[in-house]
Amino acid sequence: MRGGVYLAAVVLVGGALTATGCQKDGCVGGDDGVCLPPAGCPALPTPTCSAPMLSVALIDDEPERVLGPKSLAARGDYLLKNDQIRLVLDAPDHPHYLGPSGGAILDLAPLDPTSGDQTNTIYQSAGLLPRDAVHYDTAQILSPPGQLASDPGAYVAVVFRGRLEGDSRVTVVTRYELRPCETGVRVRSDLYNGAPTPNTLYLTDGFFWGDNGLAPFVPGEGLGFIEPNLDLLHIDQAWRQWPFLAARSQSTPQVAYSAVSCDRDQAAGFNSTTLSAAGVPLGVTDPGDGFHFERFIAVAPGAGLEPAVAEALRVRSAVDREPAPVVVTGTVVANAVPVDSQSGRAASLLFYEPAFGPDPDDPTRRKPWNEAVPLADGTFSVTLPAGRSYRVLPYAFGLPAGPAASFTVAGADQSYDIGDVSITASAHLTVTVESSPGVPASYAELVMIPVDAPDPNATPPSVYSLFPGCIPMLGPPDGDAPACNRALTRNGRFDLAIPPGQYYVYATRGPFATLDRAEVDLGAGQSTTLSLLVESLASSLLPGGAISGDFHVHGGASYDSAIPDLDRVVSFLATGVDMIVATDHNVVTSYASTLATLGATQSLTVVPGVEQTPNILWFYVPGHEFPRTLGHFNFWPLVPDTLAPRNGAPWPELLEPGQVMDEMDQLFADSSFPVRQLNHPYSASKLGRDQGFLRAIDYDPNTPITGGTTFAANVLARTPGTVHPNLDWNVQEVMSGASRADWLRYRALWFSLLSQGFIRTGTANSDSHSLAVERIGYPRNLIWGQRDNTTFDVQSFDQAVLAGHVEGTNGPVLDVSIKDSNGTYRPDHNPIAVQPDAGLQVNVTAAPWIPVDEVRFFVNGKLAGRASVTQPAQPNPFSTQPITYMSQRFPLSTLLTSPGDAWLVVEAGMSQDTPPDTDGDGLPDLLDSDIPTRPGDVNDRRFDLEAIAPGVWPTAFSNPFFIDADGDGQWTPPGLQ
Amino acid sequence: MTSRFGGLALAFAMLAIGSGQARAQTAACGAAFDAATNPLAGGTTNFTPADFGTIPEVCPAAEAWLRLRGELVDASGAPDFFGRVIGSATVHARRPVTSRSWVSLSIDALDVRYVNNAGLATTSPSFGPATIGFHWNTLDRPRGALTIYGRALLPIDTARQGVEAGLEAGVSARATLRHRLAIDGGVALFAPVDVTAGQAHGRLRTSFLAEGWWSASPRFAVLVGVGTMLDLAPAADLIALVPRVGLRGAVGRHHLWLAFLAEAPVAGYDPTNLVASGFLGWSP
Repeated sequence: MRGGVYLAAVVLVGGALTATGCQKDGCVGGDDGVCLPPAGCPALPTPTCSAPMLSVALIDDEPERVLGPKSLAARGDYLLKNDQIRLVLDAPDHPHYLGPSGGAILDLAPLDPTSGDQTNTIYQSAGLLPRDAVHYDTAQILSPPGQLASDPGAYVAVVFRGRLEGDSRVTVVTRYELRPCETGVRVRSDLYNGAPTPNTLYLTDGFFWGDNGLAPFVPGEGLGFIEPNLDLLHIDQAWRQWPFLAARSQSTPQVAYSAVSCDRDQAAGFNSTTLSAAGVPLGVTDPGDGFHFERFIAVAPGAGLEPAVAEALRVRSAVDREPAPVVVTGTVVANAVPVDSQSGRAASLLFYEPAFGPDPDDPTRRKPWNEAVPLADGTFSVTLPAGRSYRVLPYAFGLPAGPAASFTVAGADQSYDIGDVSITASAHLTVTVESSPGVPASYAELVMIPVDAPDPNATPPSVYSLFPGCIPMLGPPDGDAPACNRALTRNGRFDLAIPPGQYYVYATRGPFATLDRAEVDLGAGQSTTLSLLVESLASSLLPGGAISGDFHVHGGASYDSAIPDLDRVVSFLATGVDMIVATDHNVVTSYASTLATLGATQSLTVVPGVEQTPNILWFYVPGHEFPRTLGHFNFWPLVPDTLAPRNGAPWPELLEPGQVMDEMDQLFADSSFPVRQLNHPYSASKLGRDQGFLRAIDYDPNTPITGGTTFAANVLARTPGTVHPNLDWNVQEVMSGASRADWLRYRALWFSLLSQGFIRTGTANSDSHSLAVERIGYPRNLIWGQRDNTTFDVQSFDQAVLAGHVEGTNGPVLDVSIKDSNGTYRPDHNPIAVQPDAGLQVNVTAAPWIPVDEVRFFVNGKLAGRASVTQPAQPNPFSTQPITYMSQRFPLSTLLTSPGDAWLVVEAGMSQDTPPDTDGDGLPDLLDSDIPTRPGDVNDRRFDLEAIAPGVWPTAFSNPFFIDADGDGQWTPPGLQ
Repeated sequence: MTSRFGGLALAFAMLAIGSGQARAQTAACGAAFDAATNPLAGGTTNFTPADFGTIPEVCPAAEAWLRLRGELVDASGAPDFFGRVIGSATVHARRPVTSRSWVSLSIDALDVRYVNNAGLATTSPSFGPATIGFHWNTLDRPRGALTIYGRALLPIDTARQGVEAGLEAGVSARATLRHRLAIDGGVALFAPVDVTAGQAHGRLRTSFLAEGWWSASPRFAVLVGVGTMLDLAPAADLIALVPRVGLRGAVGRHHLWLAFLAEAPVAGYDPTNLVASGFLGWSP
């Protein structure tokens, strides 16, 4: 009897195994190399359409890129296309950005020719650390032979097999499937924990928005476009659950995305403009256990969020998560006249469930569901969940533009027209800019600032609290023109809708041109016309043969930029730079087609380059718990290869700078004079990613590199790869952007290297990512020599850069030379031996709106002297005559007072003392009160410059003279003093 | 997924134990309570769920105990940024079948797992799994005893999407050295099998245990020992080498006892830093 009981128990155990474990379910039980995940979202019916189409192919030698600078399809990637969308999945050996391999969504765009791609990458991970990112090893195309797109159940798919980057025992198999007539891709990922320990495996899609591109949105109380602060140390504080994730672009091409979980009611994760993670709710996965994650990722053309949210709500309804949504229509009017929304700049609508309590519009408690951008005739339609009460709040120019209105919708079987939504009418400004009287300027920039200083306590305009903008905000700050308070023209004419107000309106063509300004005061619905004159002063300011260039600029191809190529190139032309180095993050670009479109190939030279920008934290520095990335480096000249991943740029992750330089050696278009530029060497980190190499390794410029006295010194001196030591950059940014504080720090680092004999050319670049957030050409470089764009020779140009024939400036023009009885010398890396009668000739000029106070002389890193310049008798920033601030010769013997060899750098600009090091990092720390802001007095000398280039402290600096003072035929570095 | 069939098996096993006969008495295994008798069940929830894979008792007896076990993995610093705390309550009961054999049942009545993977923290309570076993005392001499046993891991675990089951066979032994000193231990060969979404992943493992007891009196004893667990297939590997210390003592006059066991893995791929178990037993 008892034995029978035991036998029964054993039999039942076997039965349990058979009943519960043997049901095949894709690769949830592990990747055996044969398993196939079924299609994601099986409950989602396939729609029908009039002309279904379906294809999948491995991209070969035909370019397969769509509209939009972020389109990066390369040879070997997978292209899936139906009648609605196109999807590019990168090959397993084509990693991009944070993903350690391909197998991610690289491009996702509607077929609509007016739309395009705005995705950086959508990749998979099972946690936050790089070790938990999914690394795919193989890919497999699924396409039933003989299948027609019109066949029931037709599909194409690509299956990627992989594992976690840090643990190959955890397998992940992902299936991307496209069906005819669908506006998105069905994705299913199967994860199996073959590791021997339980773990929190958070299988998720990582939407790498890249900071300044798409505006992500999740429905939820106090959410919408508002994102909790994302702190990697306290990720729980940003953790939320949501029914769907959506994102809208802030620039052309206008496109929106959404992601809906099909096998769970809610997705979970965090949402930020850098990275959103939308994955499975957290849970422990035991060893030997697995699960799947199904979602539908949709893309839709058009402005605003509505096109993607409509699709997300349709999917949720189809998979029985919600009742069918309703569509609400109406018209946005101002003074009973329909409003042209101008792609959302002049009118948009936010829809939300009201907050409980006395303030139904409380942003911290209301529950946003959707956003709509009206058409040019003011009409709109918006899709919302059924059976709820809503409020609609109109926005214009980044701020609420009218009272919120309430309405209630019931079931989906009714149509809802909420009638007119009233907003304050915009004003209208027409401006003509002339380059000389009667001649329209080819390219110019218009800048507007309010006459009265903005209230610092007032909420600035923004894209629904994302991407804080400026006053007035004519358009999203990172988007196409008009962006923030700036606009561009290609024919000298501006035609702008603006918020009513009193403004100064400037026309500018860069620091080597005059400036013009007018004041307008426009009420709602009013309009006016202005004419402004901006004449070029380049021929009188710049020494003959010198050209100006910006060696660090970004366009929409960079993951953290959204400005379209056309506006990017027009901004270069409008600010008067003669050449730029295209240095997008991890992508080689050239703007060649845009230059050709504009017919500007003779006006602007573009040298293709790249900014190698690691994003994966990996490098440990003593004293820091968290790993780091090792800064940003520019490389040029390169040649874009549009069939190669990243246009030929190597994947820069998990490498020390010397290794990055080794990789780049093979790619220079001209190996004679390869330029390797250390960018913003002490820039702060951004979401844990260190942007400045010297800051990342805690380099103190008061400590020597040779001798291995510190960890940083060892890192700098060692050769991690085969050729280049980590400090083998040959150019360093001394100015990067407008920041006065950063300039003083970078200068100290440069001086330290020079004194130690590590001779690097100092440069000044804007690191501009947009039209408005950073100003292109502020600062820039003047490169000496007999150059112009019609005969531009990149080899001799780079040779000049590497020889130090460069001046950095954000306005003043400094021309320095040493003259003695034997000749004239300009700054150069070759040392010079001068006669006792040698003198330093200093010429300082500037446009009349660029103030200059003094000239400073630095010898061996120490301030050796300063001299005041001559101020104009009747200063007038809007004069058409350049100002000569100084033309003076200084006996060299008065500057080189110490024996021995020396290096000499000259600066000109507004008065600047070197601030003390208050935090002990060896670098000067500018007081917050000294950070340039808008002067209170419109007659202040900096007022107009601050309007054009906020934060700039006018300065020009030379590269060093290396003076062999002891006459031994060689230059001996003075060392740190 | 909790198996309905597994639950029925568990119920049958409980009935079987409940219908067992009175405890038997043998030579090396004394009739009265002896604090130094039988190994304390250790290990981790992960590798030894319930008591699967642990060396069981040597001497026949009717007995029941509750074990509260806490496990810690602290790799919170770089580069792992990982931590795990598991608390579990295991109920164990055994009942003689004959004078030299008995059946056993163990079940993890509650597991609470806190896993923090670089800031992604989850806490999940679960029930199960359970084991049932049959033990046969084949040798009982004044200086030693030996028991062979077989055990099955039942696929009852609410924490899982799939199921885990397994079989185990082994030997436990005890040797009395001198007055107040004894050694016990054993070897187990066990094969857990995960079956998830139609795919089975089996492993063959072995564990060894040797521990020495010193009795201050029959009512109180302390132990020092070492255990090890290895993967044999599909690939050989050391799971853990685990020194252990413990004590057991009678409490009051109602056949109750308390015990404590601390284990600290020193080698192997099991990242567990510390396992601490407290026992409340009843040995009538």
